[in-house]
Amino acid sequence: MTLFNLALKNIKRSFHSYFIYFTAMVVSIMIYFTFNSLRYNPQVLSLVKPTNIMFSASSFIVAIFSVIFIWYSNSFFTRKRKKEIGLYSIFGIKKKQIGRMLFYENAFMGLLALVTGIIVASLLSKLFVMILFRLMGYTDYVNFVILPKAIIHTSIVFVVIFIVTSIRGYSIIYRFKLIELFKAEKIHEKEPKASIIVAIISILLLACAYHIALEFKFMPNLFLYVFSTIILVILGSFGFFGSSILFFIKLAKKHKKRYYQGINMIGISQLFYRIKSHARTLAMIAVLSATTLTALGFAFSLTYDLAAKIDQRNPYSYEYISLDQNLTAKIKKIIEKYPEHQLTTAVQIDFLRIKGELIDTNTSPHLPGNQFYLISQSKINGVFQALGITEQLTIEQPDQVIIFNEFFNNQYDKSYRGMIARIKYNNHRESFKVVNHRMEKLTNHNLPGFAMVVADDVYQRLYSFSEIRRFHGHNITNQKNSTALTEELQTVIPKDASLRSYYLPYRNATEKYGLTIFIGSFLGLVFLVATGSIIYFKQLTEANAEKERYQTLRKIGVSKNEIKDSIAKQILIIFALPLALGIIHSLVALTALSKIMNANLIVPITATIGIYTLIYLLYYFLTVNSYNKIVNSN
Amino acid sequence: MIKSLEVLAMKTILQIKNVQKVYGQRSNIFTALHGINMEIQEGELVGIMGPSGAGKTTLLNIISTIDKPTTGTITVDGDNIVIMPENQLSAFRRDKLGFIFQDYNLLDTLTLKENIILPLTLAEVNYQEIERRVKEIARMLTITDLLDKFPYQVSGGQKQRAAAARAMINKPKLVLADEPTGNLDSKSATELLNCLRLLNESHHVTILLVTHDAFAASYCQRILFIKDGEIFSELVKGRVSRKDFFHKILDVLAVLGGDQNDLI
Repeated sequence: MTLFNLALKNIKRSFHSYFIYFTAMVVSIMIYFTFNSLRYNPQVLSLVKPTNIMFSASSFIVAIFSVIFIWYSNSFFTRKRKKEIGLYSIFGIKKKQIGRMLFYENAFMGLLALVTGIIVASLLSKLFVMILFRLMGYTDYVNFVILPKAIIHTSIVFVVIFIVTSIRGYSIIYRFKLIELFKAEKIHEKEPKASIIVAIISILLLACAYHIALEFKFMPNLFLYVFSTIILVILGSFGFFGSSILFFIKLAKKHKKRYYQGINMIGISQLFYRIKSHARTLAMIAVLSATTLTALGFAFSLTYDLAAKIDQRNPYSYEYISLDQNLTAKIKKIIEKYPEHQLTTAVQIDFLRIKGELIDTNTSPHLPGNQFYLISQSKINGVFQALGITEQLTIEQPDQVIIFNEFFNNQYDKSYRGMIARIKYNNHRESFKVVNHRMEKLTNHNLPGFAMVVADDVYQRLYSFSEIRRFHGHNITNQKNSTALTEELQTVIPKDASLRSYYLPYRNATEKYGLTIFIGSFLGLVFLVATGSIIYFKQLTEANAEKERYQTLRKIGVSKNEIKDSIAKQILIIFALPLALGIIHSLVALTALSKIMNANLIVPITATIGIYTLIYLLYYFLTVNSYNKIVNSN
Repeated sequence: MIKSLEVLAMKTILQIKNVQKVYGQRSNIFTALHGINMEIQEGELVGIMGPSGAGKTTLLNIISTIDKPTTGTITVDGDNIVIMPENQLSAFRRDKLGFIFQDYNLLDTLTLKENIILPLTLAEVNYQEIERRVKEIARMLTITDLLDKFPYQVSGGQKQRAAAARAMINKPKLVLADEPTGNLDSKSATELLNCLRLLNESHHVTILLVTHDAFAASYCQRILFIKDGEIFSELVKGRVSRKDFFHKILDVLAVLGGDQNDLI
């Protein structure tokens, strides 16, 4: 029998244990290939610039991830086979031959995984392009294409990875003594020692990182700010799982009354041993979870906030400025031509454009801006009603006004309340007291000055002295799908009436951010799968090693249910601790982000964390189930 | 005095009636046990011997409720364990039985003390009582100084004594010892057997010892020899010395015709 045949037979016979490793490789290849097939897809390229940094950056991240993931599952796989390798050596097969056999095996599996991964991913690539198009708001037909460029690119990357893992397989027989190969699964672990200094330092590092993140004003340099926070968080997390956690478990051990009760003793002592050997994995999972949650939360916040902002910045489906009453009638006729769009509101606002300035009586006397757009109290309440705002504004004295500014930032800006608004007309000057300010945007246009509400009789008085800017706002149903109507209106409405539609900015934003969301969710999912799989593999390796222990327990009278409960509790802690730390990290990062963006991001952040936790929980139940099956079956 | 001892001795702890165990199905049947009958009274130290494949392990597995007989009844302290449902069996094992295994089966993440008290913590005994009992049993097995050590830090003999302590700490009705000296050197084996006999004599612990080893068996008061799934003969120590009893055992084994390898 040639060595190649032996290698081939090994794979065939114990396919089950090879299966997990094989699946891990196929999944990595599929993910990487999918990314590249999007990157080289001609239809995608016609929409996204080929130089788009997001694609190449993400494909780089996915490549790094593949290396780590394959490396990890490769060592999981080799550990399981050390004994077998030792046996070959005892039977008298030469080291060189064993090494070559392992090399062939790894290489063969790698090639098989590469072919499988590329074929499956090619079949699925159409689906991904469709999802991407849908998110970007296109409804074009997606063609099925085979992309040689993507295949070559993927093959090169993975062939390199597989050569490296194959060399690693080849060298295993040289790296370990025979006795070590046999004892691979039976190493007695010594009682872990917790260093109090490391524990305190790690908690301090985390506190420091959080402080810097939340008080970002201290760090003028954005790069330094992000970089120092990330380094501190990573160091802190590793220290935390390496040391601090041990103290908490030791504390639990000291509490004899609880510790000596039921199966607690077994669970807690097991955990005590595991945490130390799992410290690095747990810290890595905490950091991975934090990264994923922050990236996802950021992508969703961006688009979530964006959708809200587009609605807020474009109160009308169509808006134009014109004194020509015929135009309005014409537009209404055009809208009637489209049965899928019903006209819901038609508002006409005569803004009085008047020169003036806003004066802060306390500090600097003059603020920038030298125009006001005046609107009367009764008109603004009419507009509010049309826009669905239930509040009513009132002006009690004729010398009082209300200022509108949508860019007002609570964090930095001083309230306009109490300032003086002074207007100039015909060499007259008149001052008003600002009694209130609001943040609604009244027009799709960006007004080059503040909109200001004045009492009805003041408005009447000034009407003839000022320039009238007549804004027309129309709202229609189904405005997000109004391509045809918008295009027609653009041709009809003259340039100087400066049409501002809701649809165009909406469309631009969806295209731009659809890609962000797609890549963000894709990467998020990849990281989540990686995180879940790493814990899953780790726990299953452990389950196999702990089999005997649980059998002993069964013999001395621990029931199956008690064992299952104990396993569920232990694994819960293994899963929950890094997730909890990861969530806290990401919450801090996203809180800092929402401060900078001046936006309330509770909804997207909660949704991201909720979905992430849900999928993560699935992994938990899967792990408990598999673990239990391994140690608790007859 | 004598009368009360007799009354004590009369209580039957283990009763096995017509126990048969058949493995396999239809054409491929193997009968491991052919209608075994035996009784063990409270306070006895009984040995079971026999060559490999005689059915010792099968019998022990059945008594320890890990396996079920094909037919027959087994009563431990008045409970028929054959018809007992699985969920009660765990509690039964925990409360009424103690186990000593050939390979110790101590949990290596627990200290010896924690290993020993495991059955008590599972039975939710209050922790002051736990501390009291662990002191007592550790003194008897002379492992007091080792209590805070981990299994990997002590010798095989010490491990096995800790395992014996674990088997007895919850005052079980019956201790099942499966080749307890199998992995021990002769000095450790003697120490362990002396401990077992001490516990048996001073605390009336009922012990069933399954062994290959005639030396270990010579510590028993009574020995049942099994061959091909049947009880072949029975040997009672009576008033003879341990040494003479040892020679008697060797004689029976010679008749039994096991391999020389099985003797010691």
